[in-house]
Amino acid sequence: MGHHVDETASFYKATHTVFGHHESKFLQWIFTVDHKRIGILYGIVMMIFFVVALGTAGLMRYELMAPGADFFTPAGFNQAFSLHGIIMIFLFIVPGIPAIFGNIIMPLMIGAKDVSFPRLNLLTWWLFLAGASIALYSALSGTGFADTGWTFYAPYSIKTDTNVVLILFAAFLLGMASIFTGLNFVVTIHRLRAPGMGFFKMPLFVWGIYSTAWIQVLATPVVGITLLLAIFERVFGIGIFDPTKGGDPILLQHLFWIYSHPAVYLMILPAFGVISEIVTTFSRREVFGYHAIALSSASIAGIGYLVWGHHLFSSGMSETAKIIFSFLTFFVAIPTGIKFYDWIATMYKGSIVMEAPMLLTVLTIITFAIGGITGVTLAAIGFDNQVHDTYYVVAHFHYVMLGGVVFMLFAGMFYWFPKVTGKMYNKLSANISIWAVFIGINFLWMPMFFAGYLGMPRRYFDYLPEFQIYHQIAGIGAVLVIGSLLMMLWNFIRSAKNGEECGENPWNGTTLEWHLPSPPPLGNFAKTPYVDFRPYEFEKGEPKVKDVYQDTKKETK
Amino acid sequence: METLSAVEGFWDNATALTASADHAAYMIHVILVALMMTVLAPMFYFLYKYSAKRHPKEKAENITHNISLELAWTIIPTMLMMVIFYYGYIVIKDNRTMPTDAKHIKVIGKMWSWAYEYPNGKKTDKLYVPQNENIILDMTAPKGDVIHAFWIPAFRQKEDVVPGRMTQLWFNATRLGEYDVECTEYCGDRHSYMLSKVVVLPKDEYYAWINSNSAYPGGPDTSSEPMGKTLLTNNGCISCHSMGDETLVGPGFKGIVGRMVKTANGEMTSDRAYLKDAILDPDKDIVDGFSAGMMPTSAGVLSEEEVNQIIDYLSTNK
Repeated sequence: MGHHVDETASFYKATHTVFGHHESKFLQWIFTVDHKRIGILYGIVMMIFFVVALGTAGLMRYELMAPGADFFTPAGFNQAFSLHGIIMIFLFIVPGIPAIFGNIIMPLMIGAKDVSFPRLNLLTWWLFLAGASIALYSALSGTGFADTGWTFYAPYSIKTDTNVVLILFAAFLLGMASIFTGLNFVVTIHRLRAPGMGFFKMPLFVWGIYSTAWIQVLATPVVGITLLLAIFERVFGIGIFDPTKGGDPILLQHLFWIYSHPAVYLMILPAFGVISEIVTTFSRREVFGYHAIALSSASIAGIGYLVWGHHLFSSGMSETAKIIFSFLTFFVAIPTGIKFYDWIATMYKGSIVMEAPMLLTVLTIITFAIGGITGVTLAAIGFDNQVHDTYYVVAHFHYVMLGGVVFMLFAGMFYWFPKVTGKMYNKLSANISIWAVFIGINFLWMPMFFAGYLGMPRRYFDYLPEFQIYHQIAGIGAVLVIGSLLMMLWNFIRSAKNGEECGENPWNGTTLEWHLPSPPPLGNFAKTPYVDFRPYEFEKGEPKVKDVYQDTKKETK
Repeated sequence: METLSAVEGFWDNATALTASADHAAYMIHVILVALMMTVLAPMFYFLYKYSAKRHPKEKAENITHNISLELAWTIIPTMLMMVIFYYGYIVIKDNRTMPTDAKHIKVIGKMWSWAYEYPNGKKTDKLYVPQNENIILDMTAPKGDVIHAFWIPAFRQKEDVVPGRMTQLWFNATRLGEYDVECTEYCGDRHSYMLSKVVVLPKDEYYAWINSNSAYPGGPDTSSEPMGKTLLTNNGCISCHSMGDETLVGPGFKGIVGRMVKTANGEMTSDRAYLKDAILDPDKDIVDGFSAGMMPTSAGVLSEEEVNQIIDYLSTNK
């Protein structure tokens, strides 16, 4: 290589790239192999797509404020909800917390210099970018964005003349990126933990990322194959899903959900990891039930494979299969409940500080609990029979996805923003936007639980006039949710430039990233630390272990 | 609850199973909200009691385990989950155990209309059923069509309608009245217009009608009406084609026989042969401005004679 790079300089100032040294700052970013920069690259691309999908959702809510056609054509509306779903799922929530914080924070937490395969990590981001570009291109060319919904159910996805093949291929590439990320993280967590750090000395966020990574590696190939089969069906007419050629359209639903159900845990487990970090730090005491929280992540990941059939309760599947899938589904609720009780027990006799990350986490516990219990109702076959494919499911899904995963992604942003940028966000703006998004989500989706049970199907461009009141209340909520999420993003953009310096450890956190300077140096730790302490050791509300970075620095000098 | 705005007939206790389905839904939610409060109530209390203001950091205690509590919050929720499973199971057991003494009616879902066929061959676009009788719906979609789902919210009943397969759904309607039917499996442009009604009639009225020549109960004798007109209605054609010259999804029917049309294969006359293809092989010569895959084929649904009757009727619609 020859060129000397100062590993103790901030990672914004120095970087390693895949092709040696570049003068251009831009090239230094897009060819970087530094896990922190790659995490930021993911964050930027994902947030751009997030805003697009958020805007699309806003337009759909506007269309639905009154019955009849107001803004979209029916075909345009169908493309809009498909675009919203596909972007939100494949480009935002699935890469989500792992791509941003798994990359930036996880290696810091285990005392590593980087992930195991830094160049594969960069390739993964490029694959993600390629998938994203193809998705975007499919919206702007030919017959326009797919109108299949994000679920691609056959035979509709075979018959429609929109750009389905392109988006299937994009999703395939994004799936590959997801597999590589998972592989990288599994190997990193197994091989690069600092000496002394056994599995049960890892921070709980790392446990969340670890369980997620296994789902990425084991479940994503199934959807990859399914997407390819759907492409083959459209292009070559192989007759696997098309009933006119002897195929079975329900097979696609099975294959799709064998991946996509574990995928919802892949989305939520890292968010649970973030909750564990934030609740512990801001309760200023050791976490309650460390082993239970760590192992419940793993068991949710395991049970998650066996329950996909609950998405097909109304598909005409056998009654016996329904009963088995229903029964198994309830067992996902148990480890999830255990986590909740452990978090609440962690608050007991703590000394709770209500900074923005904690406020958003507490409100997320409420919204996720609502999403969680309504998920349990859907596991009850008889009740599902009424609300399957209705607004009830839409509301449940958004309470767990927005009110769980996305809220915790933003809570994680508030929590680690000072570490990553060295600056503090605007606290007043943060608190206002957090309360507004909480009020907004309840206006937006609480009425939909009722509308769904009372007869409002999902994916409807138009509706019976009886349902207008529910859509109008939801419309108010949509304005609040969109406005406050944009306000949060604006807060981050402004504060990255103008925020106050925050120092090494503004929250009195105990995990290893809080021992590093903010922003961290390129090489992370001056010398690999020896971890002979548990992740959350507090004494009288203060972190017990101090200055790991300074100590390792002294030793190297 | 009953003041909430809902589909027609939702609160009418319309079938023998409605009340038990609602009761199970209610119980499931009561149990789960109570369970949720066992998380949220202590949380609110701790957030207040142990806030840094009231409980300074020097007092924070590191409590990491309590075996009996941990067992309690594992075992009790597990038991509650089994109770909820039970409530889900009893409803589905009643819903999905098909009675043996039922009348069968065929339901055909296709883009984007519902058609019903009675045992004596009568066809309608609304589902007419006698009160207080067990009815089984044998549901399917044409092979070249897509998946739909047949939902009667007031009956708390739903099942997918899958091309090339037959699915079933049963009910016993105890109250007279009209109830909304909606498609709940996304099926394309007119998904949200794929609506219909279930009309529950007194038994004598139902049987008087089913054995009569009226197209619908209380309607005029239609034995003298052109067959083509009845076929267009009963097969859902007119949910996408107007009888005038307005374009809905497909072209309007006014003057459709004999006019010139532009297609990818050049200009041609919309004559008898062309229209026959349009009905049986709709994607063959699509008129410019319309897309392939929108219209389902009626091959196997309509006989040759019926196709001729439709074209005969269309040629009178100038």
